[in-house]
Amino acid sequence: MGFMSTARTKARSFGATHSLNNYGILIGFILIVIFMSFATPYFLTYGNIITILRQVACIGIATVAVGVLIIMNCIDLSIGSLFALCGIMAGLMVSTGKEGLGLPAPVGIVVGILTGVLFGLFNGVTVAKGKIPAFIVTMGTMSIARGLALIFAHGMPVGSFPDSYNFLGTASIDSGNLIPWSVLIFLAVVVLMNFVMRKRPLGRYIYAVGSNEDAAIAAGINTKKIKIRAYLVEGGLIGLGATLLSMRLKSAAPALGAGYELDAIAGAIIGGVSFTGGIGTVWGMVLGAMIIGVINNGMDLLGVEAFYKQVVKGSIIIIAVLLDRRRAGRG
Amino acid sequence: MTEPEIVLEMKHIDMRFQGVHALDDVSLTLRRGEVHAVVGENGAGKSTLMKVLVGLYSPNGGEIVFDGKPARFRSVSDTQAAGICMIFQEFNQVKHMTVMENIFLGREPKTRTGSIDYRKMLRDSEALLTGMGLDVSPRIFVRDLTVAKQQLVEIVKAVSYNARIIIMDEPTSALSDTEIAKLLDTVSALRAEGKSIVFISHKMEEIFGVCDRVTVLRDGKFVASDLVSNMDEGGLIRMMVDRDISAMFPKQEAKIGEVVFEVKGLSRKGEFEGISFALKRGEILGLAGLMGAGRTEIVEAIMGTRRLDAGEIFLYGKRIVNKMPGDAIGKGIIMVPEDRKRNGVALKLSVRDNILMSALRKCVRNGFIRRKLEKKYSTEYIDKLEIKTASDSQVCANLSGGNQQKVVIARVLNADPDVIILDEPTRGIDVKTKADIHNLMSQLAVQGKAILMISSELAEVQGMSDRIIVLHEGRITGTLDRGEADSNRIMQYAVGKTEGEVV
Repeated sequence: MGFMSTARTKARSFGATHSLNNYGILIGFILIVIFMSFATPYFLTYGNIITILRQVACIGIATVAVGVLIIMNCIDLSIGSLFALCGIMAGLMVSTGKEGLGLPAPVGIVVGILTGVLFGLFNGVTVAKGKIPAFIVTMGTMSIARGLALIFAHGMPVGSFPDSYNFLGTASIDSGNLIPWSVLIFLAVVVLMNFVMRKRPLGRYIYAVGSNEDAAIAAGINTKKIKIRAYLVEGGLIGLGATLLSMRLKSAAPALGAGYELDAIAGAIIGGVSFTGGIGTVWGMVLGAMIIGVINNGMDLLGVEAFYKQVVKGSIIIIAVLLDRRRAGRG
Repeated sequence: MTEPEIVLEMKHIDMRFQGVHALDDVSLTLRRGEVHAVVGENGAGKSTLMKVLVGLYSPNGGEIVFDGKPARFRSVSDTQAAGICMIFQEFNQVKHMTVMENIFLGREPKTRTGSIDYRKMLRDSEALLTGMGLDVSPRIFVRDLTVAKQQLVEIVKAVSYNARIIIMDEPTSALSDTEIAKLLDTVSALRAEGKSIVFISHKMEEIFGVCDRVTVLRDGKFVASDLVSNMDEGGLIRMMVDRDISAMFPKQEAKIGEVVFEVKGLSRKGEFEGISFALKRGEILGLAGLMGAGRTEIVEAIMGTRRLDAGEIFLYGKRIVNKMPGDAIGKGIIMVPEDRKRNGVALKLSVRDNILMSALRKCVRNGFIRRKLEKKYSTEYIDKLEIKTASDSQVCANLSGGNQQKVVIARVLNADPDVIILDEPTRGIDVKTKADIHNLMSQLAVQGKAILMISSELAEVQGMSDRIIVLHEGRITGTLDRGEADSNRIMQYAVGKTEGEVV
C-alpha cells in the first residue's frame, strides 16, 4: 500500500510553522550529539545508542501521550504517579512473590494498560464534562494515583516477575541484542500516533480544539467527545509505558516516576509543541524526548553528579524554548 | 490659507513578512489639528502601516520623521512617550480591572510609601472623564461597560498620555448610530485642541463627515493623498478598489419556495421572548435591531450554543432539538458567527484545516483522511471565494480580516447546508470583500438556500433582505417586506415602537 510514506512526504505541513520548528530542534539535537561524542568517545558506540533508546522508550511514549494533550491545550500532571500505579498493578498480577497473584504475563500487560485507560477516562470526563481546568483535575489524580500505588503495594516495591513478563522490557528480537523489543514498541507507538494526528479526524479535531475551542464548537465538533477520547488514548499510552518500564526494571515501586511528568512535558515542549495548544508534531515530540535522553545519558557518561544533572536539565529546557521563541519571532 | 505645520511624516515605508510584500513604498504626512483618514480594502496595509508607526513592527525600509527629526520607535512605550497613541481594533484593556486602573495602567500614581494612591487615581480619572464629557464612573469594571464606552475610555486614556497623535483603527465598527455620533463629536473636539488623528475606516459617511484629508492604500501601495473636500465618494471607492462597484448590494431575484425552517415561541430568560418566524427556500430574511436586541442570542440558541427555556424549532416541518452546533450542522443548519476571532477561525491552523473543519468526513475514505480530497475541497473554495492566500497551508493568522471571514464562509459552505445563518457577515470588512460576500449571498439564495442574516448596518439589511424582522429588547416589534422597508420605519421598530405607532 505504502500510504504511510505518502503521508510523510505529502502531508508535511500541518501549519507552515511546524517544519521550521523541527529543523531548529534537529540542529540542536545534532549539536548536542556532536558535543557529547567529542566529550566521551564511548557515547557514539552502538551499545550506548541502544542504551539511550531503551531509556528513552518508556518516557518517550509518555512524551508523545502528553504532547497530544498539550496540542489540545490540556495537560496531564498525573503521569509520574500513573507510572507507579500502572506498574504496580501490572506487577501484582504477575509477581510470584507473596503479594503477587502469579497470573500469566499477558494479564499483567492488559491490567497495566487498563489502569492507565481508566485514569484517562476519569481525567477526560472530569475535564470535559465537569469543565474543570485540566491542570487542577490531573493535579488531583496525581495524588490519588500515588496514594493508590502505595496502598496496593503496601508501600513496598513489587518484584519477582517471571521471565515471560520481563521479556519485552529486556530482550531483543535478534540474538545479537541489536534491536530491543521496547524500542520497537516505542517506534510503533510513534508511527501510530503520527498517523492518528495527521490522518484521522480525531487528530485533526485535537488540533482544532487546541487552537480555538470556541471555533471548534461552532464548527460542529463535539469537543467534549474529542477531549475524552484524547485522554483515553493518553491514559492507555501511559499504562503501556509504565508496564514496559516495570518489565525493564524487573520491578515496580510505588515511589517510582516522581518528576516523569516534567520530563515528558519538557520533551514535548522542546519538541516544538506550543504550550498554548494547536501546534506540534509527533516526530517533534520524539526529538524532544531524544534530546532529554541524550542529555541524561551524556551526563551519566561524563560522571556528572545527580544533583547537578537536575540543574543542567532545567536550564536546557528553558534555553531550548527561549531559542525557539527567538527564531520564530513570537517571543 | 496656509497649511498647518507637519507633525509627522512616514516616508517610503517598506515592509515584508515571509514573502508577502505588505507595504511597498508607502508614505503618509500628518499635519497638526487634522483628522486624516487612511482607507483601503482589507489587506491593503492600513493596520500594518499603523503598527510600523507605533513601533510594533520595524520596517525593512523607509523612515519616520517626527517633529522634523528622524525617529525610530522600537516599542509602544517609546511612541507613547513621544505622544503617539494607538487605539486598536481589539483594544487592549484589562477587563477585570476598573476604568481608572485601566487608564493609569503601568503608571499608577504612588503614595510616599510606594503603594498605589487610589485616591489620586480616582480624582484624576474623574477629571479626565468629565473633561471629555463622558458619563462613566472610574470605579466601574471595564467588562461591565458597553463596547462603545470601552472605546471612549480608551480614547480618554490616550488623551491622558498627552498624546498629540491618536490613531483609531476602525473605531466605529462595533458601535450603534448614536454611539458613533458621540465618538465623532469627541474626534472633532480633539481636533479643535490641535491634536492630529489618524482615522482608519471603511465608512464613507464618516470619511466625508469628519475627516479633513484622506490617504488611499491599495495592495500595500500608496495610491493617493488629498483633502477630502477635493474628493467624491465614487472617486474614492474607485481608488480603493481600482474598479467601479456598480452594485454594492447585488440582489438577484431568487425563486422563493416552501418553508424550510421555522421557529415558534423561542424564549430564554432575560434575553428574548416569544420569537416566531419562518424561513423559505431561496429567501434572505434580515434580523434587524440595535445592539442588545437579542439577535445573536436567538441564533445561538437555534444552533444549540445556548439553552432554550421554551419554544420549538422545525426543519422541513419536523421538530428538531440542537444540543450543540454539531447537531444543527448535521441537519443542515450552520452559522457564520459574529466574532470571527472568538469562534470563527482557528488562527493557528491552516486555511485548509479551517475550511474543512465542519465537514472533515467528506475527506475520509476507509477511515483516514485523503490528501487529494482535502486539496480538492479547499482549493475549490479558495478559488470560488477568491481567498487571498499564498497556499492552502498558509496559517490563518497571516490572513487579513476580510480573507479570514471568507475562510469562515468557505467552511460553512463546505458543510453543504440548507439553512445558513449569517451573524454580521461583513462587519469590519473592506468594500470589495463586502460586495463579494453580498454577491455570494445572492447566488446562494438563487441556488435555493434559506438564509437568515443579522446585520446592524441598515443599508445591508435593506439591500439584501427579502423580508426584515425587527427586534427590540428581545421581542419582535415589526416585520417588513422588501418593498416597504425604509430606514426610518426599521429604526422606529428597532427603538421599540410597535405596529400602530410607526408612521
